[in-house]
Amino acid sequence: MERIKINHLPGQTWNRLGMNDIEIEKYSFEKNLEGKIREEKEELPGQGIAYCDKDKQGGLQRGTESSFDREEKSDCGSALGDAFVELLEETHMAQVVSLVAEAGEQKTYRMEFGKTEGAACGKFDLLAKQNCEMTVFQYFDDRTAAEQTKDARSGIRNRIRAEKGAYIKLVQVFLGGEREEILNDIGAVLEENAELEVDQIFLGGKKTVSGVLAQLRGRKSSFTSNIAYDIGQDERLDLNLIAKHIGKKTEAQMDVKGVLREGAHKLLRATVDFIPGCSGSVGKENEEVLLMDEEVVNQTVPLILCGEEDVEGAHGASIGRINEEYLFYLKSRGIPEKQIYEMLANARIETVLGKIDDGETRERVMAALVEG
Amino acid sequence: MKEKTQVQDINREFYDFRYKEDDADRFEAGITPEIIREISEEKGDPQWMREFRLKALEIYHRTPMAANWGPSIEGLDVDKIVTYIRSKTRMEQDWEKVPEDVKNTFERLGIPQAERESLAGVGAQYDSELVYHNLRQEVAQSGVVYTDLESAMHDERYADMIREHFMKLVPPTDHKFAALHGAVWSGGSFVYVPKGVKLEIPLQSYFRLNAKGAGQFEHTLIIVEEDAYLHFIEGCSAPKYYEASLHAGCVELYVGKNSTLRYSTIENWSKNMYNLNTKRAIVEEGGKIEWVSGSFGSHVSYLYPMSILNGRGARSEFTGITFAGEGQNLDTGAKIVHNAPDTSSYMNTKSICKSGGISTFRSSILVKESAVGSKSSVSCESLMLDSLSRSDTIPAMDVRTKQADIGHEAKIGRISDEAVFYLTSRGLSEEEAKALIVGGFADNVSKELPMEYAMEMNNLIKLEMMGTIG
Repeated sequence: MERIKINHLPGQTWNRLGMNDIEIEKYSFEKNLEGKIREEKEELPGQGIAYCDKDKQGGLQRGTESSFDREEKSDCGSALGDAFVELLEETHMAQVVSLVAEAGEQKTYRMEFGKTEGAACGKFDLLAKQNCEMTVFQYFDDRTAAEQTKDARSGIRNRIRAEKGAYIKLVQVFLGGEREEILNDIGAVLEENAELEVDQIFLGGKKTVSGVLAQLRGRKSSFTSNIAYDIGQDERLDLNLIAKHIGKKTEAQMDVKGVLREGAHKLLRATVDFIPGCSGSVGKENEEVLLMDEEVVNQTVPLILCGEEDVEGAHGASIGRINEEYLFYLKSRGIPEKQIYEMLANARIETVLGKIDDGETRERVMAALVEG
Repeated sequence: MKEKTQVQDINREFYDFRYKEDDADRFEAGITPEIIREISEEKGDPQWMREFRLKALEIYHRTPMAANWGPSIEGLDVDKIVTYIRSKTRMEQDWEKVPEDVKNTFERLGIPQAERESLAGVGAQYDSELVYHNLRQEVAQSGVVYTDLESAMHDERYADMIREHFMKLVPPTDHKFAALHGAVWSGGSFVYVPKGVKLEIPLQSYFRLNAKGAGQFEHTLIIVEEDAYLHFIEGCSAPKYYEASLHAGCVELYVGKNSTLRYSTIENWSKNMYNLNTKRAIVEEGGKIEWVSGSFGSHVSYLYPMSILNGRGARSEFTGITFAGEGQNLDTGAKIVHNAPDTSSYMNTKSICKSGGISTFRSSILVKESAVGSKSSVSCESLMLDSLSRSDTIPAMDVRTKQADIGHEAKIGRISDEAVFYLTSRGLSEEEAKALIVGGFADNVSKELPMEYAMEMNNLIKLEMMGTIG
């Protein structure tokens, strides 16, 4: 089968490190991802995401054509790259779910996806008009999918536009199962004073390739990303976070915390890209990784690309063991070492749950953690 | 509103003097088996080296150029580069016997003076060949060997040692220009420090490329045995021509058990130079490699000294500064491989760019499964002096054991207006204030160098900064 490379590092490095991109099989998406959607406390008509013909209700639009395309607002970009977008566009006339919050509105949507056989895709356009607030929760739960999804693949693409003064929070929770591969792409454009917060939790998942591209075009626009992951048992997580500072006085903060267990392989690409002219901008990225077992692979490439003098960029990473002093202290309180490690692993997820600050999301994630 | 200042480029006349070259000394441009055989013939290579060169040439032709990373080298046509320039003189140990124009070149660069004042030995390479090599008598008596690589290869005492180590750390298959180096290498130094010998004063090799459109491919091989110490300094410069020049040298360092090798470089090639140099060290149990690197010259540089920490407790320290000005694209950094338990590495780099210069810090830290208990810390800071310039940081980390502590931090920014205001309020001009701040920024590198070299580096920074506010 033909193979394609996706999730490219914006500034390439030595090929022998194997960090510039990830190679996947080129396959066809056969159908739309099956799931449900509801506006906060209200099930939307059509029994969730039925991708029925164009209707418009409760800010939800469905159809093969998005308002983004009609209004030439489709330049949100892609973190996974052109090859992924082409795959999505060429292999299946995927229908688009468009969520719109009108000016001044506050909207909250929840979407949940479970069993889908074969290769399925979901395309979502999120448009927050001037000075509105939009919160979208997307839950991808493959744990119940069992045998029939063993070779299943998902392709997910969120295109996001936040108009002047708008705020969008996108929360994604991936609860891994036997699904072969998840490709998750987010591309966003932010206008003046707009804010985007992307919070993601990855628990398990055989192979997950995920990326976020935030284009901070408007003056004083901002992007925050909080990511937590806990993977093991030969699972692979490939992340690509890109904050592109275009407008003046833009801000980005990307925090990634994770746990790697027995045979897990994680690669984080995190890029702060200061485009000439973005004076007064600040971009920061930070990573903390706890390695629980031997035979893990932890790869990190934190980039700062800078074409502007008047900016502030910073990166910090801490990888490895628990601080000896913490360990000694907790052991002296009678807590076994294994339990200490588990407590600290859960604390990483808990930190992001705290940022998400949502009861339902907490319940789902904690239940998954208890089930192990 | 804040007023933007523009930083102009350095006047390099100090390094740009040159002497007429005799065309009869130049080999034909290009890289063919015939030219390689001619070089072997000229040097009287032993059979194994003749075969090695031809094999490396094959590898060169079949190795593609990496197209997806690093600065463009489109302006470099290797087929137009003269790979070997026959020396008009044989290597001398008496400075007075060195030909006048060559002698004048090194006199102007201050090499003999440095030898008299602060060095245990000096080697001077002019184009393709060493023209002078000398080692203080008392140092030679301690068993230290410091000579050109060709002489060592023909000396039965060292011939086997050379064959055992030559291009074993950097094999010709490493990358295209390592293969090119294997085919056309010429000149360079061989240093051997016996067990237990601690050489308190440094050795220095200075490389000068005088010829137009030529390449320099010197090979430096250093073997430091157990419990020994060496500080080796290399310096490089060339006059500016409008044709591209190429430097594809190779440095291989073997650091024995509980030994320390400090390798310092002040690189100030002219700004038509493509500096595609490869440096690598392997460090055994308890040993330590210290790299001190100042990159100021070249049009394009690819330079990433690599340390392979191969024995328990081996250590690496890398301290580097890169200063990229107009027309320069300097891609520098370091690579570390932790391949044994309890190894540690520390990387501290600074980069400065101005007048449209591009500076990229690129690094990789690989902690293998066997490197339990290892530690690594990387710190890189970049300073941009104007918005015409560009500064990128591309560090990579790959950790494969849970029993490791890896820390990394990077910062990018500009000279703070408050600091400039403070200094100008104390009577300094803006130019002086900025030069002082940049000098302070580079302080971690200059304090790692012997005083004479720290002064040279500080002068280079001053030269880069002087007359610059407009």
